[in-house]
Amino acid sequence: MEEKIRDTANALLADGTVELVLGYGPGTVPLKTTPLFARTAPEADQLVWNASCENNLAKFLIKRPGKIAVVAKGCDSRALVALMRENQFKRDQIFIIGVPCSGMVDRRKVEKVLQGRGLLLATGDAGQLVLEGRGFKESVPLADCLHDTCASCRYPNPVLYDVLVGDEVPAKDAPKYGAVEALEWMSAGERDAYFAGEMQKCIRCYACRQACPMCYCTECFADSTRPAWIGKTNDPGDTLLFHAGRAYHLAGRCVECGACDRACPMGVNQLLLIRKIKKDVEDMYGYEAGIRVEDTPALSTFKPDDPQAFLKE
Amino acid sequence: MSFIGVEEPRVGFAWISASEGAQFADTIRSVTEEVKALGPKKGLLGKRGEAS
Repeated sequence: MEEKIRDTANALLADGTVELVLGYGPGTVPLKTTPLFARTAPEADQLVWNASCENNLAKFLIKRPGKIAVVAKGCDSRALVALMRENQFKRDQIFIIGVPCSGMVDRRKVEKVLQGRGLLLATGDAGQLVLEGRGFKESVPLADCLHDTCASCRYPNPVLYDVLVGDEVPAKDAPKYGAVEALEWMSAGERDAYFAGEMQKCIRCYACRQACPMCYCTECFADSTRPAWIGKTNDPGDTLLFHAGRAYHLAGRCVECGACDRACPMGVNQLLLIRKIKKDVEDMYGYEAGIRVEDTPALSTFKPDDPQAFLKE
Repeated sequence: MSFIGVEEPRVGFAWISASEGAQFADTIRSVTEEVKALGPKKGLLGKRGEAS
């Protein structure tokens, strides 16, 4: 697939269809890739494809002028659709190089396997991840090292593309909202304790917001000081309000790419709260973001029979 | 909001036109009373220092 991505990128740049190809380049350490902006053939030849191309590149397309090609996995393509729906760019501005994705490796899970040993080389081989370092060579099932979002991914194939560079892969057979339902089943006290534990980890660095393809406001409610909508400390209460606020702003918009959780340096499971609201929107308004460009977002439409139990008489 | 531990009476939405001043006043009064009856917020989102 890597060859095909490079060939496609080169062909698009050569015939002037696009002026920029946005893809993944080799990272500086094993299991890392970096976003690559290719404008010339030598640059396009550096494009890579492997199980560490986890970044969601849709964010880089927002308000970027010119015609751009972008390498997109299933989740990335959903972000593209959702952003197009919100007029952040037009369909004819972007050329989508769709890549069917079998899931991306979660380095935190790999680090647990490594237990402090230095990783020098990681290669994928027939469903196995081979980890090599000084004095060890170990192989673990790739399925055990995937991100949680990838392990339960329902849209591994791009929902929208101009060219598909591989054969479609089957969607994962996992309960859609297993973790959310577990949280729903908790008592209020247990849930309080759970949130207190998660929120204590947060250092308010806002990496989640920066990584999120749908968080593109020029001024975020969290940064505003006049008025100061929420407290700026890392007190768990303030932090919970920030995450709850972000979750509400993503209601009916989140595409579950998991960029927030991956960006988090402290391992806060924030996607869970966002997915709870996503589930509510689906249950109440039957809408899921980033599936079809034609769909009207839940927040942009009104039906007389919309549930409105939350309204006071 | 109740999911993250904010009791239901503390949060409300109402549809009031700008011309319905009296209804606005009534709604605010009833919300104020309800929240006063609940007392200070406890737990994670409560006032710091008072959190249990």
